[in-house]
Amino acid sequence: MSRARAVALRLSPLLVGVVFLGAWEALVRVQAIPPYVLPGPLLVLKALRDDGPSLLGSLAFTLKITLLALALATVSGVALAIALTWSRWIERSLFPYAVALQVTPIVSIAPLIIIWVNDPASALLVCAWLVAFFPIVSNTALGLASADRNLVDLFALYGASRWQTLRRLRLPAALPHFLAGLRISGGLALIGAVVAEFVAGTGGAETGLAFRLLEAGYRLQIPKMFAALLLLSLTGIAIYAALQALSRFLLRHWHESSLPEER
Amino acid sequence: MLRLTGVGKRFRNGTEALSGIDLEVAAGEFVSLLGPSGCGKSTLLRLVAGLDSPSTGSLERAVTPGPSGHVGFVFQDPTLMPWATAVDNAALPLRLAGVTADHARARAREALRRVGLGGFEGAWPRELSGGMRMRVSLARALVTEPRLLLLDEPFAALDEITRLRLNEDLRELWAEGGLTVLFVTHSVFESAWLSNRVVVLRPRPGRVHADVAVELPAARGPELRTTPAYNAACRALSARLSEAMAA
Ligand SMILES: Nc1ncnc2c1ncn2[C@@H]1O[C@H](COP(=O)(O)OP(=O)(O)OP(=O)(O)O)[C@@H](O)[C@H]1O
Ligand SMILES: [Mg+2]
Repeated sequence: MSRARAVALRLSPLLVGVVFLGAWEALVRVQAIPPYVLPGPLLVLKALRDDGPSLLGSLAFTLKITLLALALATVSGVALAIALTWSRWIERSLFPYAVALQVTPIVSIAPLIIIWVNDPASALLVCAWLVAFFPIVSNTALGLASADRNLVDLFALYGASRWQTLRRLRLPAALPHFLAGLRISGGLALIGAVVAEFVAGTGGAETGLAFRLLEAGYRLQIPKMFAALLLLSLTGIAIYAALQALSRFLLRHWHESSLPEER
Repeated sequence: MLRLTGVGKRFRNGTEALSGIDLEVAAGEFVSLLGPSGCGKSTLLRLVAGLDSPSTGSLERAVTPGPSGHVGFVFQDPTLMPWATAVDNAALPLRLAGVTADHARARAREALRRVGLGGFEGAWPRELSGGMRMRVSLARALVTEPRLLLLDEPFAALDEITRLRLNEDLRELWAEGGLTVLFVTHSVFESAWLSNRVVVLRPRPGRVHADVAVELPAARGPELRTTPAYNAACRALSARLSEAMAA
């Protein structure tokens, strides 16, 4: 591929974005759609400029909940995955419940959690953790179980203990799967944090972006609502990109997904 | 070194892979197991390695597989850990035995030199060619100074030139002494050139069909491959293999 084409390939999403925004602005102006129904992108930008600083505070709160939930989900998810693969008994007895947790929509249990957990911020954290947990468990468990058969035999030949086999073989073999789960969970944790705040209607002393969205909606400040929405999407994209970069970095020497293209 | 008496293996699904195998291997021998695909060669090797246990008969070894590293195993595929460099792959058996990282690496570097991979210690498996990966696998098996080396069609997936070269290297390592080799192959030529004794197996269920001594000079070089004696040995083995397959 020529350099020019490579650059064009990189810029193509940007081009799509510009065309889309242009069409949007044009539509709003030509049809004279009132801003409380659909604000144009320029108006949204203006709202972002005016309300940006106050929205950023809320964003920080939502981000804090999201990242904490992701960290909790990672620790507890990996631990449960190891337990599941450690013994058939544990797997048989616990896995159905992990699945049950996963398939129960978070919106339906969030009110309960908010009643049970007194501190609103902690309640949001629990909800976000619940949705982020499962992809990490199932992916990591799959990874732990898919270590190369011959390597497992080799470890057995040299009399490796279960602990050695876990540390030197199963965990490294599970790393790509775990990272794939983590990328999914990153997005889900953000969704969980937002949905829970929608249900709770408040983040307590501090407020997150979801509350600001609701608030702007009640007051018919639609451009501000769009600005908050934009921040939320950008945050989701940033989390995904960061986890993608982490994955590439950790797997750079050996995994097919992260090898340089030329070879 | 090894004594198998009446060894049989029936898998849980009912497949009878081996039946009534009697086989003795003395210390210092280089023995090849030759047979058609599916005759139980890998199964037999796994039994010897202690990775599986016989359903019938008894198996005695002069050495025990385990952390001591007295038994080394080379698989058909290199079976390297893709997340570890060549030296760390080769050092694995020592690390599992509790040897410190520095000491294990030093010995792994030495083992890599022995198989002709000096200078590639820091390479990742994906940066190595198929033949080089196989050499790392061989270095890993040799790093513990095993007394019994088991190889399961180790060079089958390699090109001819690399295979011949690795054959020569393996024979040289064996000639240094102290090593007993059990080598699984389905190549008549490979078994005749490498070993002092070829055990021909017959399928369904796997049994010993013939036990043939290879009467070739101890010092074997590439030139041996074109001698009449070598050709005669190959022809004799081919005949036994055909019988085994027809049986
Ligand atoms: N784990 C297993 N469970 C059931 N049957 C098995 C198992 N492993 C091997 N077998 C069967 O045992 C027989 C011998 O298999 P084995 O792998 O030992 O053959 P082989 O001589 O090594 O063949 P190849 O040259 O193709 O590697 C085959 O019929 C195979 O299907
Ligand atoms: Mg086999």
